[in-house]
Amino acid sequence: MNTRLILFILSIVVGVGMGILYGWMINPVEFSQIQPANLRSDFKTDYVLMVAESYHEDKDLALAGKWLKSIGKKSAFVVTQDAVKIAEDLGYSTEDVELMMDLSEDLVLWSGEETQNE
Amino acid sequence: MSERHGPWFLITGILVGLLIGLVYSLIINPVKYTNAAPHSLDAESKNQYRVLVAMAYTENEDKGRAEARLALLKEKNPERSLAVLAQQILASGGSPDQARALAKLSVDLGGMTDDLQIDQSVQEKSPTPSQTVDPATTTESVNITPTSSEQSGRLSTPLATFTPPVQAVVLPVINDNFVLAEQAELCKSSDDSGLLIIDIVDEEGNPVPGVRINVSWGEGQDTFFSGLYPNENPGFANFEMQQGIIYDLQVGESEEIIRNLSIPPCRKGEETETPGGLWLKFSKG
Repeated sequence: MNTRLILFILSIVVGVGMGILYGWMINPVEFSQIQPANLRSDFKTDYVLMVAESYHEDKDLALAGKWLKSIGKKSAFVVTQDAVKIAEDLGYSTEDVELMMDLSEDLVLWSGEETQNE
Repeated sequence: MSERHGPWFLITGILVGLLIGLVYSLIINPVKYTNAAPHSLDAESKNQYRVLVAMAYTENEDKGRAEARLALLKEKNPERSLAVLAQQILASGGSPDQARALAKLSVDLGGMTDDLQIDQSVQEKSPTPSQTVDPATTTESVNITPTSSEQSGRLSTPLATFTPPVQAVVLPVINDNFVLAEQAELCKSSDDSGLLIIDIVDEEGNPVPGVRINVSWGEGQDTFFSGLYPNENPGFANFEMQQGIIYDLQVGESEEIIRNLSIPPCRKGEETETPGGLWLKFSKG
């Protein structure tokens, strides 16, 4: 009886393992439904650089803020600051880093209320 | 008796365990992707990414960098996706600046040289619009330090082989009525050969972008929009006709259909005939 119970529990464990293997490795959920917030940090940094480049062209701070909000729960200012640090670590050109810093500076006032509320 | 039923409790145990495992791994604690690559983005985010690439390109004019960024989406024809998105934005009344940036980048990357090809490819696949994304796990290591066209080459990934996204063209909400105002055959330049060139203007003669144009022939048809050529006026559109085919044309929501359009023969000398083009001007009725 004890042997049967142990084998039964073991079979459940094996089943759980198979289920997890299937759900996490073989057929994980929603792989193609990723949001920008889930991008790897270097991709996020390039994303911020694109926003900065776009902002440099059109000076639309609200649009830049909206785009930046899509890549994280933090405020647009903090997201840009984080990106600047990573860009410096990755060896981005001075010109690119300055573009991001310019955006960051302009976002200080724009995200002021938001930052205070956090 | 008990030995005869022995294996069943093991199978039952595995099935129960499997069920628990699936519920846990798919519902309670599904895989969370925190280090994803752009090609894994959902359709809307991919479009946003394309707009950003195009807007950034407007500022830096760095084609290599734009190409490298688009390569991260792992599409076979990124310029085609840009053109389709430009059309969608115009059609849905979105930002003309963004549409123009997308169109410019598409042109510079070699797309949109033939509007017909772009729209036909969309229409062939649009009955079942779906997003096909490479399910392979992202393992490439990409160091993003795009500082020049040469350096940005590092962004290119060698794994780009998957079906490009298929997106339906959203029909524009334009209720304006456009009527044929002028028509002419184009025989002076060989550049116009086989082209159906359309100019759309409002009551005051100002070019109108984003107007839907339908061209049909035999059992085929094509839909495209005015204003997708940054180097032309915003009311400009063109279509490449084929020799021997008769086309019907409809502009905007007009009930007027211009029928029997075809490549006109242009005489050069006494016997030589070369294919010409057609120019049609529509104004708001």
